[in-house]
Amino acid sequence: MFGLDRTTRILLRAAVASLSILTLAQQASAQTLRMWTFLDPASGKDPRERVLKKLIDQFEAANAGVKIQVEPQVWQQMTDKFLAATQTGTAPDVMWVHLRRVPDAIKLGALANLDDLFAKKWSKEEADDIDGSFWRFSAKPGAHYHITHSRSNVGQFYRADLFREAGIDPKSLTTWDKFVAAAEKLTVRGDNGVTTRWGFGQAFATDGANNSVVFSVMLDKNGVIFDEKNRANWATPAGVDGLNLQLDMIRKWKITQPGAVNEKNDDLYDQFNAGRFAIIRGASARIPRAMTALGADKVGFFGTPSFTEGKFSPAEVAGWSVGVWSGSKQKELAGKFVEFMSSKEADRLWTMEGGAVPIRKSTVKENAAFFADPKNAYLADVAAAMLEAGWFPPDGAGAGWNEELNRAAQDVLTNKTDTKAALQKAEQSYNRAHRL
Amino acid sequence: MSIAAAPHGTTPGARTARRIRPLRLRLAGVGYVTPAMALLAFTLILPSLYGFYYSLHNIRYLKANEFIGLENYRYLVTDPEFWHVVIRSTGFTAVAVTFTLVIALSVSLWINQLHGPFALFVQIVVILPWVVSHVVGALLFRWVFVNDIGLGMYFLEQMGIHWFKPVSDPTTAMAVLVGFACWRTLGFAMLLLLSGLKSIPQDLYEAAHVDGATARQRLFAITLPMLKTPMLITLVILTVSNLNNIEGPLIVTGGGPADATNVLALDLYMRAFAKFDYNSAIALGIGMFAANILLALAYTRLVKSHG
Amino acid sequence: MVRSRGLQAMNIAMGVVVLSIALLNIIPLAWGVLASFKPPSQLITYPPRLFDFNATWENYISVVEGGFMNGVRNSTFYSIAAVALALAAGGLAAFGFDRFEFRQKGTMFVLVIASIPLAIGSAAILVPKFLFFASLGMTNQWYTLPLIYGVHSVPITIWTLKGSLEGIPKELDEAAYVDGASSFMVLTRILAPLCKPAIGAAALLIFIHAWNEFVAGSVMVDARELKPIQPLLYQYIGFFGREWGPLTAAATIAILPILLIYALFGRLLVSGLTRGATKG
Repeated sequence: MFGLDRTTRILLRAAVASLSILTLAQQASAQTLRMWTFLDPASGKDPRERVLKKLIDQFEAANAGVKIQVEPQVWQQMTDKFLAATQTGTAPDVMWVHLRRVPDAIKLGALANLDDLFAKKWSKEEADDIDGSFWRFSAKPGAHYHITHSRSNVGQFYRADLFREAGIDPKSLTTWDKFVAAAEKLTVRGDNGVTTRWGFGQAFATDGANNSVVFSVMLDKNGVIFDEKNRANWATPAGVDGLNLQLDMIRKWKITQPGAVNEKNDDLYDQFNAGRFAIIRGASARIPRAMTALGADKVGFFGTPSFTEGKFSPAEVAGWSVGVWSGSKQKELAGKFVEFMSSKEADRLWTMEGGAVPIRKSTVKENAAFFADPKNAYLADVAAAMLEAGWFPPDGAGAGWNEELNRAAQDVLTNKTDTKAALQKAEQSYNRAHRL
Repeated sequence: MSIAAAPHGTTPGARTARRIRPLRLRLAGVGYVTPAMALLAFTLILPSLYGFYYSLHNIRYLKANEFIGLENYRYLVTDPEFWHVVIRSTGFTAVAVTFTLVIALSVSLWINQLHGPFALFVQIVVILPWVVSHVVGALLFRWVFVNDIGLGMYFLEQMGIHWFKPVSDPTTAMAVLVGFACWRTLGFAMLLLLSGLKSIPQDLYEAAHVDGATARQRLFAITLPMLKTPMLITLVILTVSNLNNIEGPLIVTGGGPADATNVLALDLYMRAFAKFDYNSAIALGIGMFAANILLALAYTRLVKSHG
Repeated sequence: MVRSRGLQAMNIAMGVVVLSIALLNIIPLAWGVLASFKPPSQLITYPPRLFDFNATWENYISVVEGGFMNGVRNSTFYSIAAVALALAAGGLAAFGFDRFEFRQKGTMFVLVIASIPLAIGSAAILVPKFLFFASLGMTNQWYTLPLIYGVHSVPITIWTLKGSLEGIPKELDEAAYVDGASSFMVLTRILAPLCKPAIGAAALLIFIHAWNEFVAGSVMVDARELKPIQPLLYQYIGFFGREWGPLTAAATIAILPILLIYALFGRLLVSGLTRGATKG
């Protein structure tokens, strides 16, 4: 048939073979909890995946007949898929929502009230232990919808070894003047004028954009980046100063690589790991990977400098807000598992074995020796920066401010557009996208 | 489905039989196309129609709320930046498709005359970028040819060229995007054209040879005319594929600098996944479908009318 | 004389072009394969390390232990099922469109061509598409992806095979009908063997499409047991950063089955490797 005798035969045989070993997805039984997360406990390639596996094993052992079925998803699309699956009734019982989408998920009615499920039964000490800006994010009186794990914030990665060599104390770099001076000192230029190491790596590509310097400067000087109607408000003196500061690092002080105009954060991490930078702006969740590449003693983290001595500028926090799907048929059980994943014992595992920023105050208090170890010091630094200068988007904020601010930076560098005009353009584009 | 066709072409009445098309034969034709048409209707056409219906609503958090008619489309076409993206995408696609088609045609003509395992080897080498995972292929392309720490830049630096950063300049960034598009789709186009070349009956060439036709005459009198359908298919697929490709603008050039490589597919992606503006994203998605379909049909018409 | 010298020059020029293409194609992928054997500390370096690294299997071990082979198995099934579905439906339809006359034939063929953008640009309406299939309970099933992948390739398969059929003289069919053959026999016994190159090309395109598809694979199924390779591969470009080692190792594993399939079907596109590929 088809004159493809040999080919057909080989193919048919392969098809039959693969069909027979194809394991079909288990049908969810009454005692199976489905969970979407970007962690894949079955693969266990990351320490946090191994912690999750451990927690699941413990939970299943303590609750006979219960099975936690993890369905790992691609992290960028996971939350959107959850919002869509909420409408079709196919969402999982337990969901890890991207922190920034939590307000959307709540407005859609996709998340169950955790107070009803377990949190209102907490003692005062227990409630205080977990209370903080994350727990309060998008909460209403008598209603909390998520417990945020895998917390991260934007700040500066630095090469601890290079800082030691140059005799610079990262903790002292709290003002932009000092920061620029240090980055100049750390920039290495060869005899032929070619820079082999840049003091401060930045990336202005729009895809996967992080908070840029101008973002932090605006928050530092004005406290807000939106007006009272949530419209972008960037073409301000603070915005102009911030963007000029950000770009003068290329134009004036030559401490940032000119390629920043169209490089991405992902490139930055790679180049940092390759030793091309002394400092980069990055999200703290990526530190463990940098430590794997360079060695744990060579990587550290500090918050964003400001114009005031001893104070950090605000930067955005991120994280994965674990909640219970409002349409779940086993909300009680799902709530029980969410509570278990955030228990004292679990938090200790996430932190000490998984390298995550602790979500409970007691974890920091009771494990002082762990945080004193230089290898783990960055966790305390991240937690401190988060506590002091972590920024959450205001209620009703849109999305895409990082992308638009980076477009403004590109516009100035590429088209020599006036700083203020570029910021105005970015404002208009943002406001238009959100029908403001 | 073993419908014995009328023995046309044998009896004196065959010609008339053909013209009036016996019912049995018509039914057979319908029977043969039905499974495919049903699959297309259910899996591609129906969801797209649903997508159009969805786009007529106000979408919040991915949920279709109140009916707003063509408001999402109105918003999109009145976006001043949108038309720049349309023009840029058109230019990019036209250049990338032309380059790819010309190179693919010459390469497949060359491969067509090779024999044995070597021919297979050359095919595989040419199609490599198409068979590797598209995301990984794009990431490797960027790492090796574009990135500051890649082989390409290192090589240039060794030659004393350290000021050249391919994606930092609007013009060279667009050139990189076009280059990546050719790199990505060349093997695919080669495959389609090669299958067309192999389908040309050999006796046509043998007859031409007897008539003493030169290689050039054979190319223009036999090969190219017989390659019309495969070239048309390749043209349509290359156009649609380049208009919709996301890896190039997203991974390789990042859409920048200053929007220099921001094309429709990336614009759609950023509307949906950076701004969470599903209203204009879905309108753009449906609009791109419509434009792509019209383009494909226009090509087909054009080739037919010149045939 | 002049003609053959011109031909020779053309041939040399083409050789140079193909050689440059080969270099441009092989270098990034060879770099990827090299990276898959590097330990994390030697992966990303400046200057780049070509050969002076401590080769290791650890990336491959971590990929295999991470359950990647389950994805390879799923994708093998999905891709072969897609080839079977698209070749069967597409082959029959191509025959119907090329050799028969029926009402609305033109309109139906327009629908086939219109489906090409709908298939290639499928990601553009991902959300409504997901809502459509999920409301019908057709997501997260074993047949979800083979169906989607197969049908995505149906339009191009129809067109390619129809293009090939156009080149085959109708007298061949008629002679067979005289001998009492059914139309299905004409298709399978007479026409299909003559369309081998086109069938080979179509099968390759269908397989490669199904194998490399990412968006539907990550959205239309949820369970880990049903995931094809591309979303699994993407797990190495995760929230905690890109892991070049396992990523390139997984991509290297993923490319091997395609090369195997290419050797199988690509033969049909090489004169001399299959007998009677082009001669009736």
